[in-house]
Amino acid sequence: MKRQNEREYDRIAGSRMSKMKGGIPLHVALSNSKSITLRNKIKRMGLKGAHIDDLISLIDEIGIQSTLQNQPLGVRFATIKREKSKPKIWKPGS
Amino acid sequence: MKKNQFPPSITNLLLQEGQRFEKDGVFIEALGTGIIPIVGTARAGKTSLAYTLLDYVIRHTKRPVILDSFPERVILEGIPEHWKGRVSNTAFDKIAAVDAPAVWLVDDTGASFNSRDAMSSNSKTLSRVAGVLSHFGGGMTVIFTTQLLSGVDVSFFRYTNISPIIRYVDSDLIAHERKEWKPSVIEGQYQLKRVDSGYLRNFFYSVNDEQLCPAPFPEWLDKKINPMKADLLSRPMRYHTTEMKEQIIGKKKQKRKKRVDVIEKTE
Repeated sequence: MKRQNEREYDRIAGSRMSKMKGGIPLHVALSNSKSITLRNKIKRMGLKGAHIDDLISLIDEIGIQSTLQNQPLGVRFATIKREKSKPKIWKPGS
Repeated sequence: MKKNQFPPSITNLLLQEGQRFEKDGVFIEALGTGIIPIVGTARAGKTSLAYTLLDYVIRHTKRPVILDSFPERVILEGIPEHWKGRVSNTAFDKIAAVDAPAVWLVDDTGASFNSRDAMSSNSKTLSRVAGVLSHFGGGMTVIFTTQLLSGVDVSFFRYTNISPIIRYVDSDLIAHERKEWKPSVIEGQYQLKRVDSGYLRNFFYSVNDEQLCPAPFPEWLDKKINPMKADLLSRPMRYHTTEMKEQIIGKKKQKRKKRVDVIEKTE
């Protein structure tokens, strides 16, 4: 029953992504303390450049993934930015 | 009213077994048997929607329509002209005597088949009937209205095909819904609020089809046109005798002899 409820709530969370205007933007707040420490370390070292931006982005992604890995599917999907869904309405005569 | 007025899972139960209808561009044969529960808080338009479903049945099929234990006055004065001759008010416990693929309306099920009356004769009839609904009369459909599915005996949705319809449910009441149905009711409220406001009467949410559907409102239900007729249909239980009302709320025990009298009078 717990898994069944989880799936139901996942579906609801998925259908509500529109409320967030197309998913929650990825943010360091979704990350974890280890990646934020690494992020700040690189900043303090004064490292700059495209390759450093890529590295920070990778650190953020790893942190966000570790935060989300134990979350239900609906929550994980809600972090994906996508177009706002329209309500599905039955059209008689269609 | 068009033949595809309602989404496929509802049309499937309203049309008579074998009647064809279009689903996803393909014509399929209707099942013609099952249960359509309409869930919504008081005055959310459950009974009005149930009448619209019955109107669809009368216009598109030859199935008889039975209003469970409705007051005779509603049958005589309330129903629209084109329904006359197609509608009767047999009690649900007489279902075995009906030999036609009828569509039943059991209004305010919480009163007649309450989950707290699990061992009453009505509820026992129901638990047995639900399993053989597709056999009786060549396949019957039951439309029932209720304020919460938790108030209805679980047998109603245990054995057969069901296609639930969600209308406006007060947010304070959702916490008391059955855990199996709570997510569907919550989802229904969310979807309805995306397209409507207030008591959300312009649409209903079909759980099986996972979509909203415009709720038609025929003029014979409009109290601005005929307030008396509209009230007879909208609140049929109001027009029962005091004795019958007391039986419904369980204050007075049903006497078998009396019940037979009522049925004879209404047929």
